[in-house]
This record gives sequence, C-alpha cells and structure tokens, in this order.
Amino acid sequence: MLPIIGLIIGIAIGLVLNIPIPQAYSKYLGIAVLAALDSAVGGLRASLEMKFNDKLFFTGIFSNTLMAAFIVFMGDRLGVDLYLAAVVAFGVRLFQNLALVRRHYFQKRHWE
Amino acid sequence: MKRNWHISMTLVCIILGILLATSFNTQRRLHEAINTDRKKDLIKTVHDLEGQRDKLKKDIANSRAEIARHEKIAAENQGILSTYTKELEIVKKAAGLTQEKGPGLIITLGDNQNYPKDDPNINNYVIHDYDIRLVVNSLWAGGAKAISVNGQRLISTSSIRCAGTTILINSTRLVSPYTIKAVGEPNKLINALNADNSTRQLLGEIAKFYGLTAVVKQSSDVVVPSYNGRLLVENAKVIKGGD
Repeated sequence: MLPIIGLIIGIAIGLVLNIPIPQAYSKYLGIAVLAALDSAVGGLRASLEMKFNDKLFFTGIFSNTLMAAFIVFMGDRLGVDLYLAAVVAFGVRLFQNLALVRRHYFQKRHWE
Repeated sequence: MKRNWHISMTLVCIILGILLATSFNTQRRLHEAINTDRKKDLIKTVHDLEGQRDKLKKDIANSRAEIARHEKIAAENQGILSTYTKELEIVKKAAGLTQEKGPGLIITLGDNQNYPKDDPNINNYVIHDYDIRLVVNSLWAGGAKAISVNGQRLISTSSIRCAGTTILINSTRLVSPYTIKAVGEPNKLINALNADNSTRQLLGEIAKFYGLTAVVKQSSDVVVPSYNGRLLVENAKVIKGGD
C-alpha cells in the first residue's frame, strides 16, 4: 500500500514542481522513466519472491539508469538511435517481471 | 526486511512518480509549444500574405489607372501629332520641300550650237532667262503643281535671272540645255503653253528660225525634286508703310 501512496505523492510533486526539461533531454527523461518503472516492477517481483535486497535494488537502479543514459548519449553522438536498445531492454524486462509477478500472485492464491 | 522493502519501494515509486509527472508535463508542453508556434506562424504568414495581396491589388489598381491616364494622354498626343503631321505634310508640299511625282511635261530648251559666226546678234541664238520665265509662267498658268529647271525646284522665293552666259536659279548657275519638268495635267499644260502668244512663238517660230532646241514631251511619270536650299530671308526687310 505504501508504494502506491508514494507513487501518488511522487506524481503530485512532479505536477506541482513542473520542472522544465528542454526538448534535447526528453529522451533521457523517457529512459529514466522506463528505468524507474523497471526497477519498481523488478523490486515488486523480488519482494514477492522474498529475495529483496535493498543494496542490490539501489545499485541496480543506478547502474541501469546510468548505463541507459550513457547509451542514449552515445546514440546521440553517433547519430544512431541507440536509445532504442535501452527502451527494448527495459521493456522486455518489464514485461518479464510483470509476468512473474502475475504468476506469483496466482500461486499465492492458488488460482491455478 | 519487510519494512526495508516497503521503504525502498516507496522511495523508488516517489521517484517514478516525479519522473512520470515531469515527463508528462514536458511532453505536453512540447506539443503545445510546437502547436502554438506553428499556429502563430501560420496565422502570421496568412496575415502577412493577405496584407501583401491587398497592397499588390492596390498597386495593380494604381498601375491600371496610370496606364489608362497615359493611354488617354497618348491618344490625345496621337491626335494632335497626326493633325500636325498632316498639316506639316500639306505645308511642306505647298512649300516645295517634297518630291513631286506624276504625269506632266518635260520641256527641253537649248542654245543653237551652230549659230552663224557672222551674225552680230548672237544673243538671238541662245536661251535667255526671260525665255525660261515665259515657259515657267505659262506652266504655272496651266495649273502646274511643281516645276523644276535642271533639277532646281521652283518655290515661292525662287528667281530666274541672267548671270552672264548662265542662268541663275535658286542661286545656282545653270547652262544650256535647260530641262524644265512640270507636274500637272499634260493637256492643260500644253493648252497653257499655246494660250500665251509669246510662249507659243518662242517654242514654235522663234525656236525654228534661230535653230534653238525646244522639245515639249508628255510624260506619265515626271519627277520633280524637292527644294534643298535656304528658306529664311535674312537680308531683305519689309519696308514699313510700303506695299
């Protein structure tokens, strides 16, 4: 329950602050959103599997985000849409984690 | 462990929320900016073009009005010009400044080259200025339109004078034989030559008697050249009170 409240609070803060981001960095922002979403779903999955480790969790967030940002940066420099790689990677992981989370819930409630 | 998990997840969710909201706002702003900018640009372009169009329309109207004005002036000028040109032509023709062509007479008068050496009156065997005057005046009387003597067009100020052994017309010395060309109706001209006694005698009996050349020839294509000397009288002055 707390994470959902956190999400709502975060959205509220974001809407209130209304931080202006230049168009050039909108790609980075999108990647950051994806990374955060991936981390949240990944964390949920880990917690359901009872394997949650906050050190791993936070280092994962940072390394993923930084790597994604670097890929985007390199893509910009090289003129190749490398950021798509990050988007695909995060997207695939997102759906995998989501599927696992779903499976966990099913197992937990014995719906199978 | 459970608390830890909750706090970490909440933290991440807060960050996610902020990022989501920011991203959302940014995207919306970008769209709006693009749309409003484009809209403004388009509206401005349309207004500019409309202004330009109106200006150009006004220009066209002005130009048309000017063209009409100029055309009117040109037409008036054309009218004036053609009137003056016509008048000028008439005056020129009358003044003898144009070549005259048409049917007429070609009269050749010449001295007797083989006059008898013992005759003291050799003047009888040559053509004199008054002989030419006689013929010319008869031709004028017969309605000649233009007369020339040896290529000298006779105009209002022309004179036919004696200058020693030559004849002076338009300040030009002429020698025998003299070719008098006259444009006019040939029959009338011949009648006029015959009507005057002195002329008839000169061309007839006198010429025959003294062996002078006197040939009157009709022609359907007589060409009388234009006058090409001075027209203005500089030294002669009209006496006041005189006739």
